[in-house]
Amino acid sequence: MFNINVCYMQVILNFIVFFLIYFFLQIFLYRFFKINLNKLFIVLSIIGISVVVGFYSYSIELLMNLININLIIICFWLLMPGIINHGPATEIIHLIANKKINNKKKLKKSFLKSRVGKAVEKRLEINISSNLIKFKKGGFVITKNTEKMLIIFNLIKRVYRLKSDAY
Amino acid sequence: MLTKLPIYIIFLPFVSIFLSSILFLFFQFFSNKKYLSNLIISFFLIFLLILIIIYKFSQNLSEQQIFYLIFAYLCNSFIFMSLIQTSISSLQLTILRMIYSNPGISRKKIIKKYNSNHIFEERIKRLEATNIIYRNKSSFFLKNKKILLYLIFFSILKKLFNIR
Repeated sequence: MFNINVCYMQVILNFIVFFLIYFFLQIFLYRFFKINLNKLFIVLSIIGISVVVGFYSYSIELLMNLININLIIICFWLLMPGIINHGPATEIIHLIANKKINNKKKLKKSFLKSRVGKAVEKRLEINISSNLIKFKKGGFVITKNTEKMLIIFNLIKRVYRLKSDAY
Repeated sequence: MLTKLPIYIIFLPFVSIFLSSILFLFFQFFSNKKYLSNLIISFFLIFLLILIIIYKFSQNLSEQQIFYLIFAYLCNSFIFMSLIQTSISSLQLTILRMIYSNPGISRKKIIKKYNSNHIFEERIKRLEATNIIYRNKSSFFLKNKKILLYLIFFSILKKLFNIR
């Protein structure tokens, strides 16, 4: 049987050490090798392993640590696209706050010239590379999994009465 | 063996985020405030409830359990907020929705229908509506300076990850 005979503060410190190692590993891999660990397959694999370990460990301390570790991995997975891709709203705030461009015409000109100017093309490429859409008979169609994902997001939008962009 | 464990502690952060989502739904229906305010208020109210629970049962809880309750709730809230925010403003999702409602649409048509001009106007409207910026004649100024913290946080991460 799995047994952790450690003081509780030590367990918390272990978790913080794990967090720091995971965080700096991500920076190291992305900065020097452009490897992004935040892939759905990797996240699901870690969750799968954790479920098995948690089920057979019979230890609440380990179970709590595993849940925290998995949650932090999911949070990183959600955070990473925001770091890699430049968001339009962030760019507008950056132009107003840091570049001191306030006039609407100048703001728009700078926005279109900036890295966000080709945001749609970039997101389209990301959708293709992550197999969310495919090219069929001269146009784009979504895959079955993407359809399911869209149904979930549309449900969230309807239930919570949210207003989204254009579509 | 697992049934002997204090299961309620394990499930509390998940039950809490469910309650927070119900509270958010309630605010969305009955409050005139913007979704972001409703989201933040519902998050803080349940967080307060968790802190009260921790305070009441502090003698029966270990440091690790307290840490777990707070940390798991914060992570769950971040995940929930990301889900809500993605449904509203994700560019990637907007493009997917466009393709879903127009199957077989070409790249040219997508860019014609939803280009950077369009995105700029939409974002300006939303930033104004959420009181982050305000308009003075034909100029825009920052209203909510707290947003700069978010900007600094992301610029630090971008520098760490070497993203230009």
